[in-house]
Parts: sequence; C-alpha cells; structure tokens
Amino acid sequence: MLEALIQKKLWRFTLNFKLRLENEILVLWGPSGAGKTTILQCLAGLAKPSSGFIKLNKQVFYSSKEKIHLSPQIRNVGYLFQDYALFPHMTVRENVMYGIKSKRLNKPFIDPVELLNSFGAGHLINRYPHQLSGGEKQRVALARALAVQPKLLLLDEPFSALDKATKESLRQEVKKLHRQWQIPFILVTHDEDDVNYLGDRFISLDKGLSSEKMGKVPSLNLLFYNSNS
Amino acid sequence: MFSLADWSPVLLSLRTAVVAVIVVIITGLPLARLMARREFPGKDLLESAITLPMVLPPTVIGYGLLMLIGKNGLLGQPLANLGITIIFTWWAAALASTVVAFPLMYQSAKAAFSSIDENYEKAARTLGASEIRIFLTVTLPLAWPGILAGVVLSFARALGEFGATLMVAGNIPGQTSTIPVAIFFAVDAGDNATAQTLVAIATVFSFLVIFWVNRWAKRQKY
Repeated sequence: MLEALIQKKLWRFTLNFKLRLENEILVLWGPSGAGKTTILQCLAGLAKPSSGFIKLNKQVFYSSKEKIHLSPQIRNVGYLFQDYALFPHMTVRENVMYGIKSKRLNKPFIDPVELLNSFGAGHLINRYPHQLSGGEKQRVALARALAVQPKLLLLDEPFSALDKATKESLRQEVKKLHRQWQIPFILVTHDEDDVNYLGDRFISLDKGLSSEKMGKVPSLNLLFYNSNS
Repeated sequence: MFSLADWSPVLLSLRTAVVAVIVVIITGLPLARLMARREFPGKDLLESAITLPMVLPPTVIGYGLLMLIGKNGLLGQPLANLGITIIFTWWAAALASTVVAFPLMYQSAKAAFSSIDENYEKAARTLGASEIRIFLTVTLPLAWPGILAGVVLSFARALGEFGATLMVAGNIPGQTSTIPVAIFFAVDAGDNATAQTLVAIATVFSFLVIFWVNRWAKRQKY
C-alpha cells in the first residue's frame, strides 16, 4: 500500500496532495502545469517535497518530521518518462539490462529478454532507440522499468506521443501488466480516454478558481473521485 | 638542413601541450559537471573568473603568473626556500599553457553536460545506478563529442601559447623554446629557413587534428 501526503511549493502555487493506494491503477488527470509530474518525481525521489510523508508497504521513503529522504536508487520505484528517456547510446538489450547491472542482481527473477518477448518486442533487442517507433520505444521503456522488479510503477503521460491505434493496444497491455504484477500503478495523463479506460480510481488536479477570487495566490484544489461511484 | 636539434621546439611544444591538456581534463571536467547542474549564489562571479584567461591579453596572464611563481612571487618564494624553481623552466611553459587552455575545456565540457537531457540521468537513478556509474555510463558517453571538442581546442590553444609563455619561461633552447617562441626568435634573428619549417609543421599538424576531429564528430551523431 502506498500512502503519501505531499506539500510542495511550486513557482505559482503550493501543491497539496494526499493519497492512499492499494494495488490499483490510479490516474492523475489535469491540465499541464497542475503539478502532476512533480508528484511523480516526489514519489520516485527525484524531487523533494517541502513537507509531508511518503510510505510504501511500511517503508518510509520520505518524512519531513523524521528527516528521512531516501535516494531514488534505493526506493525501487519504476518510472516511465514521458519521452521514455531510453539511453540513446545503448542498444535495447543494454537499456533493459541497465538496472539489473546497476543493482547487481545476480539472479534476476525475470529474464529481461523474455520480458521483451512478452511485449512482442524481442526482435528489437540489438537495435538502438533511434531505430524504434514510438510504440516500440514505450514497450522497451516498460521492460526496462519492470526489469528491476519495482514495488510501484509511475507512468508519466505514457501514451501522449502515440497514434490512436497504438494508444489503444498499449492501454490494454498496461492493464494486463497491472493484473500480472499486482503493484500500485500511478498514471499521469491529460487524456480523458485514459481515465475512462484505465483508472480504478482517478484524481483530478486543477488550480482552483475559488482561491483566486479571495485575492490570494491560487492554491491547488484537489478533487477525489471513485470511478465506481 | 633540418637537424635533430631543430626538432626540439616541436617535441617541447607537444610535451607542454599534452601535460596542459591532461591537467585541464582532470580539473575542468568535474568542475564543468558541477557547474552545469547546480545553481548557487555567486555562480556568475565564479564563472566569469574561470573564463577570464580566455579574454585577457596573454601578457596580462604572463604578468599574473610572474607575481605567482616569480622569484619573489606568492608561490615562488616559499617554493624557492624548498629549493624548487618553476620560473624559466619547462614547467612554467606548461603552467602558462594550462591557464590559457583551461577555459576552452571548461566551456566545451559545460555546454556538452548541459545539453544532455536530465531525464537520462533521472531514469538511471530510478534504475538504481550510483551517481558515479551514471557519470561513467550515461553522462560521459553522451557528452563525449563536446568533451573531445574541448580537448582538441585546449590542445591547440596550449600548443600555440606565446605571450604568457615568453614572459614566464623565456626562450631557452631545448628547455622552454616551444614552436611559437622559436618561430618568433628565428624571424627576429633572420633565420627564415627554421621559421618556415616550424610554421609548416605547426600548420600541417593543426590541420590534420581539426580534419580528424570533424570527421569523427560527423560519425558520432545518434
């Protein structure tokens, strides 16, 4: 279970974010500039909140009270970047193996090559990222993130650069992956179709108008929905 | 004709430039990496100071170095008490070359480091790679073309250093008489044959280096 309370001062407003997540898919939806990526970066340890706490399966990642801030290296959080961030000077195989070699996992439970095969991307193994299509890049990035067996997977606008057909098939793959892996997924998007198709739950982020009327710096309003209700 | 003794300026220049480039790589790369990603108060001031040797007249740098390593200099005096003299030795020539070559290495490397998408480094972090592993396997390879450009530029600058070198190292044949210094004194003494040979060597060598780097850079695009 993931629990988080994040306060983060941003340029124009202060982000307030509260979260409690079982092994579900949570969709974070909102316009650009609402702080969606900041939340993911705080969870992964790539950014530091101003205050609050982050806890995954009883392990404290961050706590302003206890002055804990674990480095991203030891959090074991998978992160799929918006532009995939595949290392351009490495082949697909080297990309997928990078995390396993970094963590010196002698006996990885998952064979990354098999993981690629299961995504239908096994034939790409010796190619470089610039030789891949958008959908292929995304599959490789997913395999790279999952190869180190994360306990939480974060996906930043994973489908925004893809055409409609690829988008739909990848949405299904992500849903299938989630059933297999049984870990919390958090997906950031501004596409309403992603919300409808993927979200067990979704949170909508927006800069509130009400606070603007009071003549203050706009703060972030948080609306919490359960898609079943 | 051109005897073995006449080659001494060439060998001396190469030796000076190689030492200067090695020092500049060891000091310039980490500094450039640090400055490319960090913001702190006074950064602009520090950066201006670092790049100053690039725009200062060489004689000003020479004078500054004299104050530093001269007989009564800040460093020169304590070193002289230990029996070490740098001024008017080969080491002074290497030092002058290092100072003028440093900003070129620093600027090229910093531009190369800054141009790397930070997400590559962030992705490596989430995959559990240590900072040193990230630097060696992600940052350095991606910045390599820019770093190589810095190496070549600083090597060329070190090879061509004249003003500051003359002031702190002088013109001692076989010891501090590098190519540019030797050309100047050959022309001054009316020895056109030596001057022309050295000019030809310097020109051909510089051309080959630039040519090779341009070819290499072309093949390194991802």
